[in-house]
Parts: sequence; structure tokens; C-alpha cells
Amino acid sequence: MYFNQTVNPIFATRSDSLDGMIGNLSDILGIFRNFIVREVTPGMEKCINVTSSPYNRDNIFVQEYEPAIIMFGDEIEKLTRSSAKAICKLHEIERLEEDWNENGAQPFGRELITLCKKIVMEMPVAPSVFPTACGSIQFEFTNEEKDYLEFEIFSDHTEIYFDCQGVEREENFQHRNNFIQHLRQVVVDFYG
Amino acid sequence: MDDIFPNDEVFYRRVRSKPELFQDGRPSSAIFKDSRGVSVDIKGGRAIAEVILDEERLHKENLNQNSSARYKTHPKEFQLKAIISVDMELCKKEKLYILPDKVPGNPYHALIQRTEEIVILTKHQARELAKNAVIEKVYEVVS
Repeated sequence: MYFNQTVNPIFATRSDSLDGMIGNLSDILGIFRNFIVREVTPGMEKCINVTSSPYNRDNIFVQEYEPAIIMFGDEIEKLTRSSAKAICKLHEIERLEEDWNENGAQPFGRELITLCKKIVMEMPVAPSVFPTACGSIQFEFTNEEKDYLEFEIFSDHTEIYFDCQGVEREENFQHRNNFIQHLRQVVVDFYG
Repeated sequence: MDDIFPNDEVFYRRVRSKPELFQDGRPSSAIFKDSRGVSVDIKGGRAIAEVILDEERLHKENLNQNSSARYKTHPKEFQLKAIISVDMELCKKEKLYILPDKVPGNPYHALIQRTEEIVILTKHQARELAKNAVIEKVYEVVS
């Protein structure tokens, strides 16, 4: 009861997109609360005080990452602060209009954005996400050794670029069955 | 290219606040990936202060011509975040091709390309430009 009364305002304006989720709302919110609590750790300043009112619309975390919270739905347990940030960045990229770079860049199709969201959700480490004016979306990873891994994701293929200790390597990977698992493994190997 | 631009030439690029193209205070190589060529403005013997003022003018003019619905409802997303630059020495090192591209109201406009024939930079070239770009001015972004 506490959950329903407290949380509903967050989702009230999104009920159309949450039809499949409302039935499990209490369970989801329970997970959500655990998630919020888990994220309140030193160094995550914006989450401080979140627990005092985690489901309030005034809550900084909910405000900042609402698109990700909505999108993850009953998979919300997979959501980390950094993956929420990546999903929100993709949400931002989806809204870009023609000429977003003042040089005639085109907007991004929903298909590519959806694909990138799926990839983010499968990544062991959330990437930094950037749009390019080549119609691709770029994921960047940096490990403790300052090595660099980049996915440039197009609708039908992904170009992978490594710069590890000054040694560069590129791979071109077509989007076939299980390609997301392949990308995941690349990231796993990168972080060792 | 060597005949067109002097060795001390500098190329400037405006970066908007949205989409966010910086990470930890440095530009992403994504800034330098453009299928139309990387849009820059040549210093052309001007003082840096003059260049900055001109970049701000061009940004405002671009916004005034912007007819998008989102600009009308979310103007803050279109703020200028930074002006960055790369120099001729770096462009030469990376064997980049600079194509003069004067446009109405901006005689200093140019495009950075991989070669004379190929527009899109290699990943290595884009990364080197991002790593070595100078951040000339950072603007306070009002959210």
C-alpha cells in the first residue's frame, strides 16, 4: 500500500506505456527500492538522500533517469546508475532533429536507437554514448590501464576499434544471430 | 593542401551542449565523424578573440534560422558548450585533407576530410583529433 500511494505519481503520466507492467507494480517497486538503496554509495553524490523519498517525483535520481526506469520495466534489476545514464543519452539522441550538428546531420531512426538500448542492457559495463554525423552511435569504454574500446554501431553492422597501449586494431562485425553476445564478450575480454 | 594553408593555420569548431559530446572534460572522437566532412572555421590570420566572437555570431545566426519545433520549446538544449580547435601540424601528421568551403556569411568555413576523395575520417584520425584538440573556450551551460 505504501508503494502504491507513494509511487503512482511517478508513473501516472506514463500509464499508456506501462500496461504490461502495472500488474506487477508492487514487485517491481520493491526491486526498484532495493536498487536505489544499492546505489547509495560513496561517490554517487546525486543519489545521496534518495532513500529518504525514493519514489517522489522530486527525487533527483527519478527525474534524471526516468526514461531508463520506464524502459527497463520488469527488468529493472539490471539497471545500474551508469546503464541508466547510457539509456537516457540514447533517449536524448533519439530526439535530435535534422541539422543537430549545424552541418546537416540527419536524425536517428528508432530502429537503431532500440538496438543500441538492447546492447546497453547486455553490456557488463555501461558505455559512454555519443552520436556521430555518419548515422552511427558510438559506445566508448576505457579500462584502468587507459586502454580504449569503441563500438561504432550502425543499423546492420558494428565497427569495433581498440587502442590498447598504443596498439590499434579494428574489426567489422555484421549483425547476425547472437551478435550482441559477441559484443558483450568483447567488453568482458577488454576489462579482463 | 600544403599550398593552400600555412603551417601555423588553426581550425575551429563549435560544439553545442546537446547532444553531450564531451566525456570527463575532453571531446569524444564522435565529434570528428561526419559523412559531410568535419565542419570547421579557419583562423585565417585573425586574433583568437575575433575568432571566438565570430563563432558566437555564427552560432546565433544558425539558431535564428532554426525552424525546428524543439528549439522553440527547448532553446537551452541548443546552447554553445565549447569552441575547440585543431592545428595544421596535427592535420598534416594525420595526413588529413582540408577543403576550403566558403559559405554565405562565413568566408572562413572549411571541411576536414580523410583525403581529397574520401570524406569520413578513419577511427584513428578522429581519435587523434579528439585527443589533441585544444579547448579554446568553455561556456557555462544553463540547464
